[in-house]
Amino acid sequence: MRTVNFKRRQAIQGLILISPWIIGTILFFLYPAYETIALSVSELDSIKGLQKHYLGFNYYKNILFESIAYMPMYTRVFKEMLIRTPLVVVFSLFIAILLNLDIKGRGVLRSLFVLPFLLGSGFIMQQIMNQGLQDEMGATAMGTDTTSVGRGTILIPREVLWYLGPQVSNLVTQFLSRITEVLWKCPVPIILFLGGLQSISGSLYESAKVDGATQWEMFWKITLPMIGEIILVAIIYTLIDMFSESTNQVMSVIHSTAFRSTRFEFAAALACVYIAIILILIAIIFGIAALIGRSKK
Amino acid sequence: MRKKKEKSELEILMEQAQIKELSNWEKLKFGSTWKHIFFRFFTYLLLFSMAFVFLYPFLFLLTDSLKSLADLTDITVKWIPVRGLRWINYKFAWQELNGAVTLKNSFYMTGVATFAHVIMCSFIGYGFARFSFKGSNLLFGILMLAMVIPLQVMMIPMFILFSNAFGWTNSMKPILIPTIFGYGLKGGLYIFIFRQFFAGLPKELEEAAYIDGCGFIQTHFRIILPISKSSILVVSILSMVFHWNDYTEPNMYLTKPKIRIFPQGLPGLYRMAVQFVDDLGYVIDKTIFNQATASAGAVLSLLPILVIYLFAQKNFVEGIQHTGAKQ
Repeated sequence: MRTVNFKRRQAIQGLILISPWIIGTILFFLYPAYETIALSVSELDSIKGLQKHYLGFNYYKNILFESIAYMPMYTRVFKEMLIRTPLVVVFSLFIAILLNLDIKGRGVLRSLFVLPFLLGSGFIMQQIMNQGLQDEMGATAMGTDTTSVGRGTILIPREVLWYLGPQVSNLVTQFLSRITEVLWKCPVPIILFLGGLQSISGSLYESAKVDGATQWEMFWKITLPMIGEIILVAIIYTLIDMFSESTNQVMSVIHSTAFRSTRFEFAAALACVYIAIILILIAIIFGIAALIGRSKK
Repeated sequence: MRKKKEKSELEILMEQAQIKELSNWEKLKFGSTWKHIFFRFFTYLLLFSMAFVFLYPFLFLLTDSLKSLADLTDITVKWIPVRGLRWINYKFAWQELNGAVTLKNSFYMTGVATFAHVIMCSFIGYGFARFSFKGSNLLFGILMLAMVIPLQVMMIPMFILFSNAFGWTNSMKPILIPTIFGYGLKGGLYIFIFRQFFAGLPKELEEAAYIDGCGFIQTHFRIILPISKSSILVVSILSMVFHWNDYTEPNMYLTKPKIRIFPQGLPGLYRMAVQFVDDLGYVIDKTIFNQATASAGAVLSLLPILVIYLFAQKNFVEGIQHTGAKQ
């Protein structure tokens, strides 16, 4: 009898603690989600109070089958994401392992690697990248079209690039800009991985050494399995980060469709398709993770 | 005698073997010295060159902001402005961004939103971590959904809800009020961080507090919050940085000049830097509005965040590692 009382009391206390969030969920999540879905299948009569009547799946039909503008946009954005996410995760794991070594100046290096986070994914970062490129390439002197090169900021002096000629230097800059972009996404995964690496107890490595394992074997047999969950978290974080950044093309198209050409219904349909693809992708990733976890056991 | 000598020889042999084994062990541990040194050198090289990729744009922004127009157009000038440091760029940027008003707004918005996020998300996260009840798993699932879906794509109904139903036009309420309910900019993430941290705390603390007659809300504020400084720091820095750098929501809701925030003016400043004629047809004075002034504006908008981060930096990195370990 007492335990039942206790449980009930706990439930009530929990509900009281969570209640602000529940109100928030209804107001700021469930209601907008419902309205967005409703909007995507109807036509607005008046913007005031969102008065609308049912229209059917016309917008979806247009996006998915008729228009040639939108599906390629989605595939382009998602392809870029699928290329970048593994790169980000691998790079940041690598950097985290290096930063976890017992070296001098580790603290300074660690805080340097968090620095890009302070810029967010905002406007300044974009500007910085564009600007660095223009100067590096010496665009005016080379006569190359900077817009086709993409962004990049590293490290090759423009004198070297002049000798290489436009084609080679284009190739090099493209490669470097890809690496730069990937590196700039790394800070948060690096921090996650560092935390994970530090939670592995050193005795595991010692016993493996006694048994004659090499560093390489230890990485695959100890490090990777121990931080499996954190890899999943890092992948999800990187994906969410790329989905929701405002420089993402889909996001900007949705935004401009809604607020510049005021086609609210169409923008809502675009958003619904986008969210559906995201959810499917994340479900697939969780599915794969669950399969790997099961095969281990 | 002989026996004794034999024994000692055996002992010597054993000692030698031990030493050999030990040195082998040392070798296993560190590798040979040359290899060791080479490896170290390589690690440092790699790490510092990658750190340079991060640092480079900051340095670049800084030197750019001090250049004059002649230095900007001269391609032989790369790092050091040869025609003197032009500090007046900062003054122009400050005036153009209407710094006196917008910076105050920025601080106000970021401060209130961060404070609300820390207090309310810790509150809600505690609820998720400690109290299990029917349907709490379902609620946690919804929390994960709210975290994963970019809420910006659902802005249309939100915008209409805020402006028509609540009448919050031209105020910061649409940005600030949701933070009180654990939403707002990445609110779900902070609830998740707090929940992970609280779930790892020992239960004995709270039980002791309950026995001493402490209510659960009191327990949260008196017992739990004081010992979770690291996660409070992490959440407040994350929330602060995201709010400070955000453009999307402020651009929708803060349109009147009186309530604009500081970074909102930056795109305009950068546009002025590349255009020669403004929207009204007036010729833009290129000695005032150029890349240098835009960079100065960017530096100004980064400065507060950078200063706060420098103070909190050590605890922040450690704090995130603690929360990361528990995920």
